[in-house]
Amino acid sequence: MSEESKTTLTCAHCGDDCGKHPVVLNDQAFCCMGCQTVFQLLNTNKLGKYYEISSMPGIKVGNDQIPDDEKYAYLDLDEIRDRLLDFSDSGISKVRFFVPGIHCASCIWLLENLHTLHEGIIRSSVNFPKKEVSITFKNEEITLRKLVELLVSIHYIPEISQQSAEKTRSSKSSRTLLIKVGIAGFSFMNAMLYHFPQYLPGSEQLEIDFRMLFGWLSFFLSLPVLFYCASDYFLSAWKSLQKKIISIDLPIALGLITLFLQSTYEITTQNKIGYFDSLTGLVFFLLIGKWYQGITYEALTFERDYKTYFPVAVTRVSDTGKDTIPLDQLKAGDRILVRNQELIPADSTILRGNASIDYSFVTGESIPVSKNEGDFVFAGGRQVGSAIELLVQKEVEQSYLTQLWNQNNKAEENDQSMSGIVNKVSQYFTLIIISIATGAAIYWKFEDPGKALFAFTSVLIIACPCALALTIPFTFGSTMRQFGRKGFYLKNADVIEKLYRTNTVVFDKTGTITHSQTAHIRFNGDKLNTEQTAMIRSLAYHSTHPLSKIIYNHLQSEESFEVTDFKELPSLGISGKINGTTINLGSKYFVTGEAGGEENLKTQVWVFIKDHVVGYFQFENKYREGLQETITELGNHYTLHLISGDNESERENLLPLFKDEAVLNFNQSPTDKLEYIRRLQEHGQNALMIGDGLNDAGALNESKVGVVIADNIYHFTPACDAILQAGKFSKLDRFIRFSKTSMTIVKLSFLISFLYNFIGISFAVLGSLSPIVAAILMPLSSVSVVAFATFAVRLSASKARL
Amino acid sequence: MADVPGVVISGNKTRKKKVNHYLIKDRIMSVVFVLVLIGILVASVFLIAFIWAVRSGQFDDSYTPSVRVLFDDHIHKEEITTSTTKAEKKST
Repeated sequence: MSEESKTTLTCAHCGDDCGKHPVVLNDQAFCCMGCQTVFQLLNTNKLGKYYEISSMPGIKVGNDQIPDDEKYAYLDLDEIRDRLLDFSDSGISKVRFFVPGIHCASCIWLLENLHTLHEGIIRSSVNFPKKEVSITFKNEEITLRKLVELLVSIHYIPEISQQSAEKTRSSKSSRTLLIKVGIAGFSFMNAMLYHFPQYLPGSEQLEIDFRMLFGWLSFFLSLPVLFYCASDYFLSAWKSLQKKIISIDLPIALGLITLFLQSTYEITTQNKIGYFDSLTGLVFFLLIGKWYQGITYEALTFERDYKTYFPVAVTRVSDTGKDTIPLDQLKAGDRILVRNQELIPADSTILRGNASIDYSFVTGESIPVSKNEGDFVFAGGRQVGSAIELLVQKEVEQSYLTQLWNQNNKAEENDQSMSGIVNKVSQYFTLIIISIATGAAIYWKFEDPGKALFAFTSVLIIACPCALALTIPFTFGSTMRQFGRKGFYLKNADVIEKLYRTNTVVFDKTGTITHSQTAHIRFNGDKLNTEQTAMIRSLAYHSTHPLSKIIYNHLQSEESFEVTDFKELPSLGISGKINGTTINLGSKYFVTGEAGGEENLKTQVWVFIKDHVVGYFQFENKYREGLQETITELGNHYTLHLISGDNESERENLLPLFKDEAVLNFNQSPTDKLEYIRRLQEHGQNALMIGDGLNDAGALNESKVGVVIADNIYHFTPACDAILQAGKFSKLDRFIRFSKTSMTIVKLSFLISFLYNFIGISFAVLGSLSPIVAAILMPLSSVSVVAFATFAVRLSASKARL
Repeated sequence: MADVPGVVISGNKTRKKKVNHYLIKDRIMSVVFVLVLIGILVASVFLIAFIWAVRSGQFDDSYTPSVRVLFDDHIHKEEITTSTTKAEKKST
């Protein structure tokens, strides 16, 4: 089957390098059996076009990621099935899956042609931005479990979690907003047509019947705009009034009501047509701004709780056998089976099997921790290797990490600070406008009483802060999009203002400033010759211990030897004989016989060959590229802190970067981290926390801005305000500092809109505000503010080299 | 927009032919009235179509359909069965 080739082959399925031993089938090379199987499956089903739409579109699924046969057994449970299905009636069901693997046109094509792979699938359609596939299928011909297994077999692994089972449909509100925009646009365009004749020279000759017809039509058109489209502004203005806050919505609501009343008054008593075009246009522009700000990253989830992370069901072991139960029925005292690549759902002790637990999601540490029978394990780790049996000690909700996660809800306290700058400005703005309006009214009362009321309403109308209200959505919305293009994804536009207020940056160490995936291995001791290297590698091959695996992958050798007398001693090491030569790998105590190793805080694996200790492998964290520049840059403008759950082994390396002994904190538990942030913020600091794992979840929640750094942004991340792509770490300082530029643009836009207001108000105070001035000035101010904000952000983003 | 020149014409004509003033005015009035009504009806049809499109979820995903149109028609089931038999023949 396989043949050696000098040139590097790329896998026909996934495009990866095939390595030295490609799998070859019909002249096509594959990097692994998994890829080859999918390729074959698709070709026999005449789905070969998958490979024509995009080149090498396949998804590689490593051997260790392939789920166990029994993994999806829980989908046969009725109550879980019912929770997952969108709809099920008369034998036909519909289900939606989040598939993070969707990445190209080929994916869409294949997933929409799923019916060719199985008779039971009626229809399937992909929502690419959401990375969702919704499938309609016949219950009789394919079960939900079979369906999921089918998707897994073509390497499109759906993410099924507690939350996906409970998710609410959020698209409703965005649809309502779109409908509102549509109605407002419709009314605006028509009202503009009816008002246009009045603005032309010679309009005085227009028949009064026409004018009234147009006037009344505009009046009826404005009704749905005022009462339906703009209802949110009235509601929020009323709500903030009740809380005794003057928000930006108050002058808007005041302006809208005055516009409507003044126009209605003019149309009923003065045979004039009023300002309905300005009214509908205003609402239309405001809603457009709202819609623009609301476009967020649909495939990313920022508000995950532990439910997204934990599985939907677990395998319970009892004397009678195994059964699958939903996670929420798990009780303390239950015995559960955790297979390869499965999560430990609750704090428990190990009953049987050698656990090697990957806590990278929790701590960011990529090297799995090995545990033995009787040891206590925290929830959140992922078992790597053979299945283990656990005795549950605490219920899921009571486990250490989940408790930490649920401790605080910051959603509420932050509501107030939302677009704080606009609200602060609008407080003064509203007061000033009302006093100008009253002043004008009083003046005209003495000069020309007939004009008093008109001047008063004119000021309120023309001062309606449409441009002001549009500034934030467009400036922050464009900033958010610029960030997104460069790999920094914000939860919503308000995060920019919080970024601006940040004055302290707190780092987590493992997985945040160090790489989470690659550990740096160094060999200390005599230089290894090729034979020794081959021997160590051959021995390591036989062990399932994570450190052995890393050593095996790290060392390179052409030869491999046969190992006899292989022994694996739990938590000590491995030993064996190669051609009669003894070779031992393991802890210092095991290999050298000397106790200790505690004084050295780094992970080490010692090597003994034949008759002496050759040396040891040292595992070190590798720092991210550009760490030094980023930290130095940030250090010039912000106070820096480091809180790490690890021991102090890296203190010396980090001290030159952070410069201050006091800000380096090691051996911090997740609760310590949370407390640390809380203390900082009690002392008036606005902290930005950068972390990656579940152990940072509490601190991320507590901080004003929680940033999560992730290698794959679609994979699980703790709840946060922003997600930073791991590769973009070196640009972090530019992102944070760009929030200041954004804020400057906001202030400049405010100036522009005030300028327009000044012009408008001078007309209004003089009592000479005609509909045409309103009709020109109001859209013009909005459009110029929007244009300025958008272009300024673009320009400065390219200048700042984000 | 059709109503704007109409209005101006009515103004001009009233000056030239005062006799027919009322007659022409009434006619143009009714024409414009009808046109305005038709205009708003047509626009309403589009508005309703838009609302229907939003409600039926056509705006939920603005990317995938742009890719989907480029694909050929969905594969029919008969083709698959014939192709699989072909593939089987090939392999044997």
